[in-house]
Amino acid sequence: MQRRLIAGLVLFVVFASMPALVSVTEKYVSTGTASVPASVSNGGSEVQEGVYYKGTASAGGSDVLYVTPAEIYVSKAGTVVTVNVTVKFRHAQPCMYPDWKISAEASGGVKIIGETKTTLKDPYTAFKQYTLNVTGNGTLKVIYTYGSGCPYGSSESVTVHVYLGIPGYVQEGDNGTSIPSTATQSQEQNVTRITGTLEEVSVGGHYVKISGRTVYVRGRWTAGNSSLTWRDVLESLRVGEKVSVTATYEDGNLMATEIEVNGTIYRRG
Amino acid sequence: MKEITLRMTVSLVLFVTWLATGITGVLLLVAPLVYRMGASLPMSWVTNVHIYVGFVFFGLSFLHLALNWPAMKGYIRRIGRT
Repeated sequence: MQRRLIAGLVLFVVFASMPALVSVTEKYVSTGTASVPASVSNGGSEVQEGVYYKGTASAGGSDVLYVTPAEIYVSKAGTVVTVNVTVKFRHAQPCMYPDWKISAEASGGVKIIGETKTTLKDPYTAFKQYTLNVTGNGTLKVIYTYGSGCPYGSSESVTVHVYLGIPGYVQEGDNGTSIPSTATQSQEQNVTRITGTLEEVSVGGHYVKISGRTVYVRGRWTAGNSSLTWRDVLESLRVGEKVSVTATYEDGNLMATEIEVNGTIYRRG
Repeated sequence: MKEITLRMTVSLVLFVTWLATGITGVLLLVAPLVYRMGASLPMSWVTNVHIYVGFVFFGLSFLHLALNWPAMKGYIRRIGRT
C-alpha cells in the first residue's frame, strides 16, 4: 500500500507540474532560437548607411506582432529601407486556422517595393520582410490577420512611422510639446539639436537628460580658452537650467558635441 | 482514518478538476462557433485552465488508482473470469 501510494504521489507530481515545466522550457528554448526582437518600444536603435532605425513596435493579444523598427529616419529621398515583421504564435503552426496572413499598407511618401514570402522560423514564429522606398514622410501599417474562424482574435496591427530627415526633437520653449524634426538636407547627417530644460545630470552615467532624451557627454571639452574634461562640463550643469545641445548619433546613442548654457558654450574636442 | 481522509481529499479534488476540465473542454470545442456568431470567449484563460487543471486531474488519477488498487484488481479479476 505504502509503495503504491508513493508511486501514485510521484506520478501526480510529475504530471501536475508538466505544463509548467514545458512552459518554462519553451520560453528558454524560444529565446535561444527564435529571433523575436528583444527590445520593445524605443529600446533599441541603430544607424545603417545614413538610415536611422529606431525601436521595435509590437501589438498583441493571443499572438504577438513585432515590427522592427518602429521609426525610420532617412536623410535623402529615394532611400530604400527594410522592415522586419515577426509574429509569435501562441499555438504551434500549422494550427486549426492556418489561413492567417501578414499584410501591409503604405501611405504618404512610403512605397512598398518588395516583400519576402512569409516563412516559419519555428512552429511558433513567422517572419516577413518588407522593402520600402522612402520619398517623404509617411507610414507603413503592418497587419497580422488571424486565421478565419480563430477564436483567439481577429487582427493585430502596428504602424511604422517613416520620416525624411534626421532624428531629433525640436523643443519650442518649455511647453513640453515635441515634434519629430524634419531637418533640412543642408544639415550634417546624424546631427541633432535639442533645446530644453535639464531634467537630470548624471556624472556617474556620463549623461544629461533633456526633454526625456538622454545625451552622453564624453571626452575633452573647451569653453573659451579653458580645457575641460567631460566631468568638469557635467559638474558645471545644474538641473532646471535651460540648455541647447548639439549632438550626433554614435552607435545609436546621442553624443553631445556642443552645449550652450547660460551664455557659455562648451565644445567637444 | 488517515487513509480515508486522503482518499476523500483525492476524490473531492478529482471531482473538481474533472468538472473544470470538462467544462473548459466544452468551451474550447464551441469557441469557434461562438466566435462566428459574433461573441468571443476568454480563450487564453480557458486554454490555460484546461491544460493545467487537466494535468492535475491526470496526475491525481494515479494517486486515486493507488488508493483503490485492491478494488481495481478485483474488477480486473472479475472481467477475467467472465
